[in-house]
Amino acid sequence: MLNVYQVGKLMYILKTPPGIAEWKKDPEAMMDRFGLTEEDRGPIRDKVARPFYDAGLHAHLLGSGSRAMGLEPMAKYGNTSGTPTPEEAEERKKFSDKIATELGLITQTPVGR
Amino acid sequence: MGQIVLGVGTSHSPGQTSQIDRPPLKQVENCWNAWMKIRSAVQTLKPDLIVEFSNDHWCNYYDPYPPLAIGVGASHYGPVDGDMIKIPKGQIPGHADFAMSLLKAAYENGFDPVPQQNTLIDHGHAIPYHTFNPEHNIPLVPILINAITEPMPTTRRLYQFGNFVRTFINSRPKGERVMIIGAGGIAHDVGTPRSGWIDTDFDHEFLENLEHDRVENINAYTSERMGKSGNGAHEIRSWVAAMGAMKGTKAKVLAYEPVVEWITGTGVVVWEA
Ligand SMILES: [Fe+2]
Repeated sequence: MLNVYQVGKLMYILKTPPGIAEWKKDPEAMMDRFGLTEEDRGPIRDKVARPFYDAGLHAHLLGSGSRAMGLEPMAKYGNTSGTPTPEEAEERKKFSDKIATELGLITQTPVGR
Repeated sequence: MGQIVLGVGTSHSPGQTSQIDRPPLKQVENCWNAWMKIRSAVQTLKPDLIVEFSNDHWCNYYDPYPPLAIGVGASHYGPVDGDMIKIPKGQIPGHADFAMSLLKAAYENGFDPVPQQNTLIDHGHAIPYHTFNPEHNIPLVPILINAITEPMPTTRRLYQFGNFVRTFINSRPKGERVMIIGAGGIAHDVGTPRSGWIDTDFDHEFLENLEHDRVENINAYTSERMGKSGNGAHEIRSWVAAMGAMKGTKAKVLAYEPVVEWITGTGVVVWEA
């Protein structure tokens, strides 16, 4: 049985910069530190999130954890209500830029959700 | 005595600030015009502090996960997910005196929130706070409601807690002018195969319940009912706390759009004090 508590705990730490740095350096050592079993490591090595979702791991944590670990995510966020015309796309960008300026938003391209 | 000068219920989905250019312009304009209207009201009303009910998203807690916590620090750090939501990170001013007094009064009145000195602010609090006060010069008292992992507090209890917060504010000898925010929801599902589906029926019913002040309907929402409309629909708990704080005033829906690109039924409500 997958130990969702421990896998979730690891994914919780992976929401922090030190956690991500530790993961990048040595994932196996980090999985040792969190007491993950061979079974727990299976989906991670196979790069899939689904078994953890089916075992009850919280979808929020699984989403951010999947990004950090490079797993195939459960959710795809590319939903769209349609492709805009070039004019509409231009209008959207103008409006977006206006708000970003007014609120002092960071203007680089975002990285996922 | 203190007074609440404005109450707001709003969604806090990351797309609101990170993907403004993706949804149809009509939807984005409708939502953002409402948020900017509130921003103008804040500039006019000049509240001394903002009390914001929202929820943590696995940033401050894993185990234990408190049902209710109050950020009592002189400042808070965030947004920890600022890169994702395009809001610059940094210290956000708190209001330790107000927050500690609120905490003590809560214990005397049968509520037991957890005091939190070092609070990490994530998008749940940061998006509305930054939208209405991008200068970050109004102190923030964050109230963190568990809307993430079962068991979660009931809407009935949160309405009562919100109402207690109103009584507390009105009893403040220092006479602060306070803005209330309830942030989260409305219907959405995060990180699952059905993310992107928006239960608009749930959203319309919820907003109608707010507008008509149907407290018994609000109190009757079970966790199971909210969860059916997506794991993010649990976040209406924060609106319910705000509704309790705004008891006796009238809610008005400024905007509602089921924004597919933001995977969220996006709502904006004001209670004019
Ligand atoms: Fe949320």
